Amino acid sequence: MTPALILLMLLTALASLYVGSTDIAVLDGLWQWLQGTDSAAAIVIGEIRLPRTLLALTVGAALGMSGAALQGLLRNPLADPGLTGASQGAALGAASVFYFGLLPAAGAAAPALAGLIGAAIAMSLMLMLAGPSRQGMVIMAGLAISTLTGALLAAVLNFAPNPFALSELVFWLLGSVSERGLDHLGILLPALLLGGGLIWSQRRLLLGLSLGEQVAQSMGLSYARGSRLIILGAALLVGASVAVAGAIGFVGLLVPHLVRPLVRNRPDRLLIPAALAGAILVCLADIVVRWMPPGRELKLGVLTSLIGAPLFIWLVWQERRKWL
Amino acid sequence: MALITIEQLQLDSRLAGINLTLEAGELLGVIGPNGAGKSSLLECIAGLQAYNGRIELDGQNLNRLHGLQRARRIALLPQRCQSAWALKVADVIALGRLPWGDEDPEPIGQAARQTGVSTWMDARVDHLSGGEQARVWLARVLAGRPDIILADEPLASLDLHYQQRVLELLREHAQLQRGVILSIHDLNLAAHWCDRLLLLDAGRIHAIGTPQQVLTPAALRQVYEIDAEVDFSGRQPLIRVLG
Amino acid sequence: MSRWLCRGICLFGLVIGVAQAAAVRPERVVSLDLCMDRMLARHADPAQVVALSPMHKRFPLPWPLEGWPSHDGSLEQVFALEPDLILVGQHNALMLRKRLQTLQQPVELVILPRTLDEIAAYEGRVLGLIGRSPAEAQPAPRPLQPATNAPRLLLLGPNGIGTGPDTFEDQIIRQAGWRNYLTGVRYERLDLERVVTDPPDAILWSSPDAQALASRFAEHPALQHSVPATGWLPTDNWRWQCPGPWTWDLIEQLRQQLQYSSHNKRMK
Repeated sequence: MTPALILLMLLTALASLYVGSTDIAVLDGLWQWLQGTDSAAAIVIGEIRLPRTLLALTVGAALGMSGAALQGLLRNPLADPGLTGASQGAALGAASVFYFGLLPAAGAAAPALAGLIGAAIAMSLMLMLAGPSRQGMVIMAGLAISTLTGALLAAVLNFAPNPFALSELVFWLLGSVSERGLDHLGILLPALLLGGGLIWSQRRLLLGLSLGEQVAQSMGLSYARGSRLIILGAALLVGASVAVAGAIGFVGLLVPHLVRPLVRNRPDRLLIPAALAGAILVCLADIVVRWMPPGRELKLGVLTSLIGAPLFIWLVWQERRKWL
Repeated sequence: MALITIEQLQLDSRLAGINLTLEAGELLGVIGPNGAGKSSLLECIAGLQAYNGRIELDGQNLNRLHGLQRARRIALLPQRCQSAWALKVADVIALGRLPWGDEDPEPIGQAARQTGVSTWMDARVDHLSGGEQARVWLARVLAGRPDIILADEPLASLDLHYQQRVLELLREHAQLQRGVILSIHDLNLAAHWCDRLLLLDAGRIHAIGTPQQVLTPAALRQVYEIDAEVDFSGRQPLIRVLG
Repeated sequence: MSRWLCRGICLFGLVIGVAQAAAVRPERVVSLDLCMDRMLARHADPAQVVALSPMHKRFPLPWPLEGWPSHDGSLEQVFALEPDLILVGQHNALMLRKRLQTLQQPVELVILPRTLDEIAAYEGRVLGLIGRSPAEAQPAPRPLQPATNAPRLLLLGPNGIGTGPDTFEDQIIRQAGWRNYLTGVRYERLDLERVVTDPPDAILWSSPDAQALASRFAEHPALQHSVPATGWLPTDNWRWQCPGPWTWDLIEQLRQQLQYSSHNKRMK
């Protein structure tokens, strides 16, 4: 299962290196770039296509895993970084720091750090608002928080010193991995490893929570501590990925649902495959974005939302039938 | 020696001044009207509530015990159970091994055989009927091989056949160094199956002892506000509500 | 005879009237947009301007306009200033100027030049409106075409938008002796890979003071790699924002950069 997904991910990554507007010998270019040659092929492969591919993979992995973790924690198949307000919170944090040049001490990692804080605050507020009857209220509380943070984000962009900031609301809400360098990977990769590690350490809690908080606690799992670690891990993943690539919607919702049947619906075994499948999905979506005629770049999030939103509607329909 | 000793247990306004022991090999029934504190008592022992007072397991303070250590010895079968995901029966039963951190097929298989769910191991638990699901939840608890099972109204929503099956399993479990605390509404079943009964009323112990000692017409009138006829002379005790 | 005399007097009177009208200097001038702010800043007497638009604070000139008052862009404030001349470019402040016109305010619509040869007429019109002689406008130089092998210049805007042919900027580039790197459509979303595989000789990019994602394209390491640092020309952004007499200075500046660039090329 996992090896098959890893193979598929590598194939997708390779395919992604082959997609671009210029005709270039990919493997030669890659080899030249690795040797430090300054040829056009080396620059196109090493500094344009490779960072873009790696970013798409890491962002996808972060979103897929955080979606799987949030769904497991909240025991709600509709939980997703976007629908719980985490993405918008991260965008608010990252954008405030980015446009106003705050937290200069953190250097290039400042937006990601602010994104982490924003996502964590948004999720905590959402959980507080949803209260103890979490399962059903999560989406409504998430809607409230994401609307509020979305409005604050627009306000921040409005007052940003750069006149183009407001038009960049589209990026923060829809996401893109174009025109990024390898330096962004230096922020995302540690966040992916750390956040993923935190969530992975709580996989038993996620499994125990299948039967409810009570059962999980009676089995000796600490819900209070574990849920905080999962929220922190998810905030790390979402915060860093949104700071670098904007809020790419519905990946966190879509991916766990695609993978779940392959792992017998077990929330603990879902985590790694969801990360791999998320990486594949976002990379594929970015390949499609690059295939589109040049001139009008379709935002990555538009594409993932076009795939994800119908699934969301279908899930709502399923839920409705459950209650009828 | 007592498996569990409870001294002066208090839980905000729900429980007060509870003193209780569970002996080895004992099936202890907890009865009382709705809101009397039956579930709260079980939750305290299962480590779900921060209580005042003292609960000891084999003479050790329960609060000092690590969560996993406690969970290996005490398992809770909650009143209502539902799986958030469409897990397979085998995976639900394997959940009982969480405190041990393994998925040892031996106890899992044994629990499935005991509860008679072996044939559905690959079925999705949400596709089973309510009675079948109840047996799977019980199998989950048994797979952890706990010494003490806390069963919170396990008979609710079960038909007569499954009620008997579940009670047989709990009775069987309450042997040697093991014990069961069972919260139950049906007084006839409680009187028939339990070694001792604990009658709770508004968070306090009204009576504790053998069924014959606890289930008196006076106690029932006081706690349940009903007039009842109690007959312990037959093969099975009989409690009949009058009027 | 008397008829001729009458006609002569009438004609004389008309000429005097027109001359007087031109000589009447408006004393309460208000501007509604950035380009009019710039024209006033260049040509008007600060004493005759009651308010510039708020835009000039957002896009400041390299020299300070301290002491020049400005309005907040609201109908109420502009009306309260009791202007005797309101200047506005034809594409700007549409709602505000319509409301001012219905209130019988002296709104003057100024058509901005779309080609280099229209600049002189534009400058002359603004000069005339503020009571100076239109003849003071700087005349346009002789049109020039770049050599067929001239270096190629990319005018790079925010969000990776490049400026192509049939634009005012394209005329500036060619008048200065460069070829425009882009030959397709007027404004083009650039493809990074194509620019990197066939890089221009020089890029004109004015990096903003504050961060924005719009700068990501220009700051991409691949682009920085394929066009050497000497190929990134410094530019006075304000001169590009509005056409005007300063466009001639801009062309001169670009021509000097061309000579420098060609020199470098020969040295190589």
